[in-house]
Amino acid sequence: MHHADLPPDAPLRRADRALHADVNGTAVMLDVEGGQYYGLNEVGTHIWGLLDRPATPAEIAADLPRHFAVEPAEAEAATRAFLADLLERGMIEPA
Amino acid sequence: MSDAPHHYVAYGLHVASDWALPELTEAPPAVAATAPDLRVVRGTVPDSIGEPREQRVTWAARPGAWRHEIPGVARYLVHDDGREVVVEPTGGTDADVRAFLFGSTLGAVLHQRQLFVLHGCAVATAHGAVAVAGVSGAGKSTTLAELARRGHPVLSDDKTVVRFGEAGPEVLSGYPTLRLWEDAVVRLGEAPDDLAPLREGRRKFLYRAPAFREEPAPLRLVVVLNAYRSIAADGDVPAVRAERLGAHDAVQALLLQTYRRRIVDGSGLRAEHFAWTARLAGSVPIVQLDRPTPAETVGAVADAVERQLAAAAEG
Repeated sequence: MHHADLPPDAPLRRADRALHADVNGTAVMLDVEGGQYYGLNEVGTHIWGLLDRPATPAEIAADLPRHFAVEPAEAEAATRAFLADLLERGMIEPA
Repeated sequence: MSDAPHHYVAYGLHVASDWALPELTEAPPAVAATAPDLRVVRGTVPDSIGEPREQRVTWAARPGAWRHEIPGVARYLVHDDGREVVVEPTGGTDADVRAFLFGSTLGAVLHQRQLFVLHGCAVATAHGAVAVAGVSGAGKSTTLAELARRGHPVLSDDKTVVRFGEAGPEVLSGYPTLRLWEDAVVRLGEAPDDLAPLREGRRKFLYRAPAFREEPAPLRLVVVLNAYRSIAADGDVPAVRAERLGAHDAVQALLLQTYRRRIVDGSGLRAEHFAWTARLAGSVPIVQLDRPTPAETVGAVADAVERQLAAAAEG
């Protein structure tokens, strides 16, 4: 899947409407406006942690192979898909 | 000192009421002499509370106000951050007026007071408290009756309030009157015809718990009861299955089992409620119990609850 609207070097940040909480090391998230609940998997929890401050897709993708057994190309694709999803749902926004 | 004629305690609140509320525990004189936490007054309920944030057929909510109207019975207004309920009867019997007072209206009071309210019951055991939640028809009432029959004091029915204390989550003591379906009443060895129906002509009954705990109890376990249809050959009843939910599913289950979650949303407390939900999911095991239906499984469900509780107590 190609996400043309997600430039690798444009910083992203968490949106105010994205409430999050830590449950025994797993991030859970609620869209306080729409009421939709999201659970994040291990990689998603890690990426959400990186978004603690503005971060670019390239920075995030480069970080993943240090923590998970993924190839750089795989990490980049997974990061872009995940971030595009969060962006579309309004949980993150351009910083 | 309050001028209201009736004083009770429920969910840790001193309730001063213009009505007799026999479902509740009477307040000891020392409590009755203090300023009430909740007033139930007879008055006029406005036609509108302004622009609602959430509404259903019978109710509307915005931050600070909740209005409920049951045609032919009564109108209710909960406001002042859950410190006052105004009741305006519009033709219902006292029993009918109270039936709706102790339903969503009390739920709105608890939500406005920023308490965490599960749709379910709770009992106290030697291992601490267990809350049993589930959708209507999951078997909460029957399970509660069986747990009570086994000698576990009841803490609450229908609305279970969890407060986060310094020592962890605890269940507040509600009130000792249960709303039981006919089969649960029979299970407790009572004759339904001897009990007052919840409302005129209904097969749901008010029943005084055989043992009731008037103090809070530490919460050790939340059980989410889930009934599923099974078609089994004779003598081949599927087992009751227990599964401890992971973080995502636990939070999702607690959100879904929140008592009238739309009232939370309408009261503008979604963010606070989410934080409490996550906190609870991180504090105690949330276990889903799947019970086959129509098989008779109440004994097996109660066994599973006791087993899970013992396991949770061991940590």
